[in-house]
Amino acid sequence: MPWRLPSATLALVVTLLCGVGAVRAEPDALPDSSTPVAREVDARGDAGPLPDATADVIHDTGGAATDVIHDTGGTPTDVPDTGSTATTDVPGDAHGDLGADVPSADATPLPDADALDTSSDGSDANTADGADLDAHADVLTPADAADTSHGSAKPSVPPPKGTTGPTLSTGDAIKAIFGLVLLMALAWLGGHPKVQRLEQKLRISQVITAGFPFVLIGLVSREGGLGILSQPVLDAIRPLLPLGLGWIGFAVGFRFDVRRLDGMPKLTAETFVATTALPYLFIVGAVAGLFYLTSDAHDPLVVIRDATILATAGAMTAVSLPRFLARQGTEPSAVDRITCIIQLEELAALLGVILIGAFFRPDQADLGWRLPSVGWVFVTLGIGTALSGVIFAILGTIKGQAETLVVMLGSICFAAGMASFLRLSPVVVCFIAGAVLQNFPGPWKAQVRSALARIERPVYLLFLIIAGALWRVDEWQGWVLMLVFVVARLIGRQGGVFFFARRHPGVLSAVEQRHLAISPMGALSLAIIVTAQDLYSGPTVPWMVNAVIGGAILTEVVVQTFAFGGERARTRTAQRMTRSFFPAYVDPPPRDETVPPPPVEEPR
Amino acid sequence: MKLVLIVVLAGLMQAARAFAPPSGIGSLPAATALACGYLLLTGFLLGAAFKRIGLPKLTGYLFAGIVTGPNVLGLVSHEQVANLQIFNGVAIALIALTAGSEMHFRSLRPIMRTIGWVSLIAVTGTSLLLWLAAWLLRDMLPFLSAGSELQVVAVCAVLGVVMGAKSPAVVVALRDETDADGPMVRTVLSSVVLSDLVVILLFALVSTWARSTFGQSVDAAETASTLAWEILGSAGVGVLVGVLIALYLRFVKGGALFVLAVAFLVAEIGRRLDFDPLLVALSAGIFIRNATNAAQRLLSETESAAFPVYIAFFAVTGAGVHLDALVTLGLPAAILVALRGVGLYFGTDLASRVAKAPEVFRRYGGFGLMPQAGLALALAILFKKNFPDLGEDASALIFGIVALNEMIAPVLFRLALIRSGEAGKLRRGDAPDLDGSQIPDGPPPELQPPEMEPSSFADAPRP
Repeated sequence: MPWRLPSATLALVVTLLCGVGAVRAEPDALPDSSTPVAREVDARGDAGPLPDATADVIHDTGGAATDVIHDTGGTPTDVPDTGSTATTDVPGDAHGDLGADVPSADATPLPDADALDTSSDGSDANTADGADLDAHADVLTPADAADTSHGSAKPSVPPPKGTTGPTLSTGDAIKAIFGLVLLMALAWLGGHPKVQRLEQKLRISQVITAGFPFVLIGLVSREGGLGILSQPVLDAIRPLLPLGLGWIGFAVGFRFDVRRLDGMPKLTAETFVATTALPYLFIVGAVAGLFYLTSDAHDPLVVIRDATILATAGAMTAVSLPRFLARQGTEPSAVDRITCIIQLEELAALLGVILIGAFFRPDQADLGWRLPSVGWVFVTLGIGTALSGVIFAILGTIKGQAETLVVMLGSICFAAGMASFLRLSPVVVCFIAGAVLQNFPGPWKAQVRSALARIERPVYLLFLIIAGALWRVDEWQGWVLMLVFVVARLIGRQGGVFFFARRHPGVLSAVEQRHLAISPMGALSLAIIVTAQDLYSGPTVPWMVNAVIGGAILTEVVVQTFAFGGERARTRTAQRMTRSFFPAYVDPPPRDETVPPPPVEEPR
Repeated sequence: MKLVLIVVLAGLMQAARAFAPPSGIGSLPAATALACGYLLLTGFLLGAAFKRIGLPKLTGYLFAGIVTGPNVLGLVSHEQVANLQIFNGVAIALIALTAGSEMHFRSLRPIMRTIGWVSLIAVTGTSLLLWLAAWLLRDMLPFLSAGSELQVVAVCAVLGVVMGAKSPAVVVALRDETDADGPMVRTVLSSVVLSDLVVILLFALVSTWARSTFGQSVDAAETASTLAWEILGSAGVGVLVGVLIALYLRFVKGGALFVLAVAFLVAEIGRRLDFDPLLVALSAGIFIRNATNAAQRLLSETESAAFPVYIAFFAVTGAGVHLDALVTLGLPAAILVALRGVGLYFGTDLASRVAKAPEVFRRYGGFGLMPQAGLALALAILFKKNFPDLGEDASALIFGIVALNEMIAPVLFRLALIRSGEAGKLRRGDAPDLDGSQIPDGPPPELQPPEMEPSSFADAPRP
């Protein structure tokens, strides 16, 4: 079959464009909320003498005829003034862009407390009636910038090493653009069917194993002095993040078939509870204890929040596990049970994310909607459901593959953007939309499934690259947390399987026990932790990212060693080691080599 | 149903905006993703709705951007529009690549004479007419009141050139949407592409002269070298890009990603190196068409991939239209738009008579020269940068003219395609007749019920 991926690859490019587009007019120099300046402005509303880079992006609310040219061959953008006479002209370079030569502070009057207060006053007025929102929506103050860049007003992480500063020179910009295109091409290659077949032959097809090089590429792109994914570029491609998260959520949701749960094998729900609840509790306990002992901040709410986020991510199993079990000739009933357990895990994890998102909201001091925590649960569910209705109706009007792609791209972009804009999890909102669509009838399902399937892996690999770039490897706390996380997860799962096997002997086969006890982590775990990083800030957040990314890789090593050992010897070693930990473990019956394994229908 | 969906989407968007901090949008990256999705969906739905009432889909995309943009409903803010401008560069590069790959010199030979006369009479003549009109309307243009007579003449000359810019993007999009082919649309496309080159050249020359009247230091040698770098350098890089694309298409199956990535690189890196992305992509396309046999594959790959980029491009362009400019300078803008239309129509008519062009081009070709979009806006921005003393009104006038042309010209050109009988020819499989002079009576039957058109121009098969 010819290698043709026009629609899917197009969507990748569009996402890239969307991201790089942000580089042009998005304040290159937008102060990261993590920077001291931003924090100071945020806290006091009084910037004092700001550095040039910060001053450049301040569209002075106190300036009359403030005029910002987003010179991209498009139209200029006029920012309404609020009163004074200074004129600010912030041109890009000759054509406007990533490496915009933003003039220094002499072009832009430094904001003082009054200037910032002006916008604050305005905001109060607007909050009252909401009528004059637009006039102010175009004005970005440093405080807003600080708030909006990371989605939280809380004091956040110190700037990471390797930050190249807020703007890029033309040469750096060109390098970054080439690098981004190269990364995109790599992600596309990684998703190619031939590459996937090769991975399967080499038995490295688990999500993390196959994706690990991409995490490393992301890490090296940022830390290796290549300057491809430097901080300004990462800031600029942040629109990719909600889109990637949303795409993963939608794809997972679109695989969620309620009918499958109706016909679950016997005791599947109990197995799920045993193998999920215990690791969840273990991780919560271990991580909360560690945070409490090591972190300076002893805010119990933050500790609980971080621990539950990690536990939610850790309770997941990679969706690719049943596929590999099927290929290994595992009995279909076992594959089916594990598939159902994974679906239940996904459901539980997303429910957990909804609750975390609702009850541990980012600081809402500057937000328009003030709702009780339970209200946000309903907002999340309502938005997901409403968007699924809209997408369902739009999908009813499409003809042809090109239109399917436009609708899918637009819908996921819209849903993920809205979720992220409301500081909810794009994964959850898009999951709800995808799940509702999957479980409603429609002639377009095959087209949507095809579009999702073709683009899911490249998007995921691109997402891994970004996750790798966000990975902070230079903080020891992250590594300690990773060890604690992995050990707690493994012990929890082993314990869950042990207790279930004791209570219901003979229900789980040896293969099921082994793979439930030592299971790999999947895309959703990474999506959950990256969502958390997008929503929250604090010194512990980078450690959590480290724990999940590193933990996923470490878990994968364990899985490959003990659970996926193809050779008999390795399996025996794994069995011996497992038995030494858990005496209730049942050895698998000897396999009759003369009888071929029954044909297994590959799960969707 | 589509209108209901549009309203629902607008409601959701407004709800999201209500969440924003009163002093600014909530989170710029999230807002960018939100606006991108919103414009794609609304543009798609509105395009389909416009098609049902017999208007071009493209007008629907533009209208979606205009209505939801910062100047009307404000559902999409200035920052969001600015962040999405990235689509412009890529779309323009893609369109130029498409346009260039359709310029087969051997096939164009019969119409080269027509194209030459159109460039001379219709394009240059209309620019001269607009120059004169702007000078006559100088009392209605407040930004000209402070200058000396020479400065006024010079600025009017620049305005005339800028207002003469055309839009290959609109021509290609409408041609694909209506499955049009034939001597009229081919001549129009070639004329539009070449006339834009003429406009770029004229702008550089006239702008340099005008700046010198304002006392700005102008180095003729530097200007010449800059122009040479931009034009010749762009052409040279374009040939290299063409070689790369042709090699890729020859040895690798599929190529949509590669073409899009190249368009992205051309747009983003080209402009950083002071190349003109339009010229680079155009040269690449021309090279591929005339020196390789990969042109058909390039066209099919580009078409299958460009649909969302086009929707986003036109919607973002619409959102960037300064309707507020029409409030203050509406009357002179309307007069200049009317004069531009008249000049292009009668200029094309005259050029066709002189060149003995096919009757179908004489009657309808002028409408194809009227649309304006990216280049005019880009020149307006350059104009604003080159003449900061003239203030906002000068560029606002150009934006107003572009806005009017964006709203009116695509409708007229679509009508012209239908009336000329060239719409739907590709689907019917009619052989293009470059020498034909027969005008069929009325539109082809399948265009009368709009549902008979292909679902999108991306779906349309090319020969």
